[in-house]
Amino acid sequence: MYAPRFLTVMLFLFAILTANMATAEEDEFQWNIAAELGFVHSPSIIKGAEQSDFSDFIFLNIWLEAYYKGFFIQTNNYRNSGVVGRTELGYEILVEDDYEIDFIYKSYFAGFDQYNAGAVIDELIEELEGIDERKYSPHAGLRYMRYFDKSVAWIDVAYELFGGYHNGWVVDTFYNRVYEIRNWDISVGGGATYFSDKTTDYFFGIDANEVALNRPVYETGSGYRVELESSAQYPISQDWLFTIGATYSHFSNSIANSPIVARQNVIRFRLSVSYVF
Amino acid sequence: MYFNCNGIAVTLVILLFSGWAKSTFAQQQSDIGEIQSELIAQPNKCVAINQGRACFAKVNVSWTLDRPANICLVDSLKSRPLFCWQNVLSGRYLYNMEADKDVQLRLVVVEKAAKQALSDMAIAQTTIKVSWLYKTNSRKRRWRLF
Repeated sequence: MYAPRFLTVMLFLFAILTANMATAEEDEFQWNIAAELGFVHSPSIIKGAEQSDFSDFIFLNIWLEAYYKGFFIQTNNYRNSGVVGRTELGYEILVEDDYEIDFIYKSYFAGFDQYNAGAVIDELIEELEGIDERKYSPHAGLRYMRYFDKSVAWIDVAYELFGGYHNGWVVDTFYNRVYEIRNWDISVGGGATYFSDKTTDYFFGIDANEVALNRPVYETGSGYRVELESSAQYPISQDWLFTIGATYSHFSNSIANSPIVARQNVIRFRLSVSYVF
Repeated sequence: MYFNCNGIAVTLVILLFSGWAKSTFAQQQSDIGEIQSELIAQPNKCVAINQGRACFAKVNVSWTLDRPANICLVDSLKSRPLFCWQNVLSGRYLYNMEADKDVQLRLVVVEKAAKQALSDMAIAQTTIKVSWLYKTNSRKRRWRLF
């Protein structure tokens, strides 16, 4: 049971000890802060967590990205979900011209409970009444990132190492290609994520103590998500960036058949302007 | 109204080698010095996303003179004039810009537009500034939309 955790810790320690320290340029402190205001249509896969009020469709994000001596943090401080859910911490273990290997610490699913899920904040969600809280449970692991001329591909292999909520695995892959068309950046990407049965069951399984009308016991088994994404960015001025894009997500039957899951396919749309400090 | 600058340049070279070319050139310089001109480029800024990336813009360039002259519009980053006009008071030009550094547009009087001295004879000039939203071209970036 503890083998995966032990293996991950050992891999991380080994990686740190053998780390190829970053170049002088990468030793410099680099940062980016951006405030993003926009419209988002994001149907929740969790039942009862839909956007309803106008304010649910409007969002204000603060993005913080900082890099120093190989360490990095990428934070989307989303007003609905707080810092924890959108933070990606990492350490560059090995950096080469065309690839890098990072230690990564991030959440692959947002936590939720009977009062907070999707667009709903501090309000009882009937469909989820009586369920246990699914906590934010970041996974820790390794990322192999390969850079090509105008594209990038990565694979994360991560384990729920520190929280101890479910000790599940995640394998996340993604490929993104950027087309530079005049001053526009057009991105097209796709990826697949595998969730071990423990990860999937923690979020979407129903235990005996959570059973209610229309909510039987449910054991998920492992699951996956396939995503296709396209976005476009345009610099309005030296400080303002326009972004528009959409993401299509398809979830495996093991997730979609859960009594607390509303849908198997999700299309999210986003339009925003960002002020880059 | 467009005419061939190369022909004029060749003529000028011939004149420069004739016995009276020197005094004629001096007279033209004096005349040019009296021309009042205005050169406007809109927009005069171009922003690309990442540092070092070429910036694209359609720039409306307009100019006026206080008396007719043979004029060429010159891009500092290019060896040949963008366009030339003969004996006119004003002109417009739609400039398709693609540059990764500031572009200086100049109006030069054609009679003096010898190949080797185009940039030194501007009667008006304006700059289109190139800047970037992200000042570093880091390969770290937000790769995902959601």
